[in-house]
Amino acid sequence: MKKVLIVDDASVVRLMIKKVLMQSDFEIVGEAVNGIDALTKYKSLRPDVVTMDITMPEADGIQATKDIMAFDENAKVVIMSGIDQKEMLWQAIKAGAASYIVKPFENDRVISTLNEVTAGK
Amino acid sequence: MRIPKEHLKILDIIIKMSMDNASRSFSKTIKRAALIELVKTELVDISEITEEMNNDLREMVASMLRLEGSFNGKLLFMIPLDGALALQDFYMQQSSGTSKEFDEFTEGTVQEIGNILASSIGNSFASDLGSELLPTPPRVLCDFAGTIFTSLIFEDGINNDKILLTETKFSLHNTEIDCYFFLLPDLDSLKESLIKLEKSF
Repeated sequence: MKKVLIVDDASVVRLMIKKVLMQSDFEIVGEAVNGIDALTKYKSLRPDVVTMDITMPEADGIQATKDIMAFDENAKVVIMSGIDQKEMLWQAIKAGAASYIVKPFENDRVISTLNEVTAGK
Repeated sequence: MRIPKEHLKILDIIIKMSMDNASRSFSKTIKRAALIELVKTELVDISEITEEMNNDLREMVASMLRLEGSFNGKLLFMIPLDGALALQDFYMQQSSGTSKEFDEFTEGTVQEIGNILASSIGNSFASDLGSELLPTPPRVLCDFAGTIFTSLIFEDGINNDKILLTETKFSLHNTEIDCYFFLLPDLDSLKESLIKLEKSF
């Protein structure tokens, strides 16, 4: 099973993503509530893929993606955010994100994106 | 403090479009039909609106955040506690009445709804103004309407006696939940953005 780290400051969103991923071939190995927590958990849990919110306290998802990619250049980070703006998409790509899903998300889209990203497509 | 009529008109149109986007996002999020309608965008006396809020003695759950970018502003989404619990059931796809007390998931639901509304508005403005408008992480408060509203108004200190307020009405899945939704743009930065937009026509 592929290991997933869920990063979002809203508990209810983490729960909903967890529910979606538990219906497929993913194991939720951890949850983080901000960008700093995300890097710490990434280092200790070494997940196959990270779902990353952008708007979070302490360090946002773009900074956390940069930090995770600096620690592990092969890390797979999928941004999941309500922000649908060109500039932010560009920042996410520059930070090293493997994909970008705009919230509210379709369950199937989350599963297919994570499958593609972990398969290295 | 004056805002040219044309600018109020432009603002009204962009906010209506933002509300349509927000309605779609909101409906998708709670998996139910949701309609957010713009009631009015107008300059109001701070004292009048504060008094109105102080007269609402219900306990509220609120999501408050800032929008930063092409202009700066604040956004407040405020819902009575019983409405927040109903929203939590919608969001978590539970049967109605499952959530009975305020907990971390009620907080998370209101936090995320605030985030989605702010992002929808930011996305609409960014698309129309051609630049970024990003929300900051929401702060969730549970208190009386007047107390929450006062902290929205006075947090950064406001020197004017009038503020620009956007008032909206929510209808959720055949249920009227009278949420409050206020957008308070910083008038100077908003004026600059609207002038830029006007010139681009």
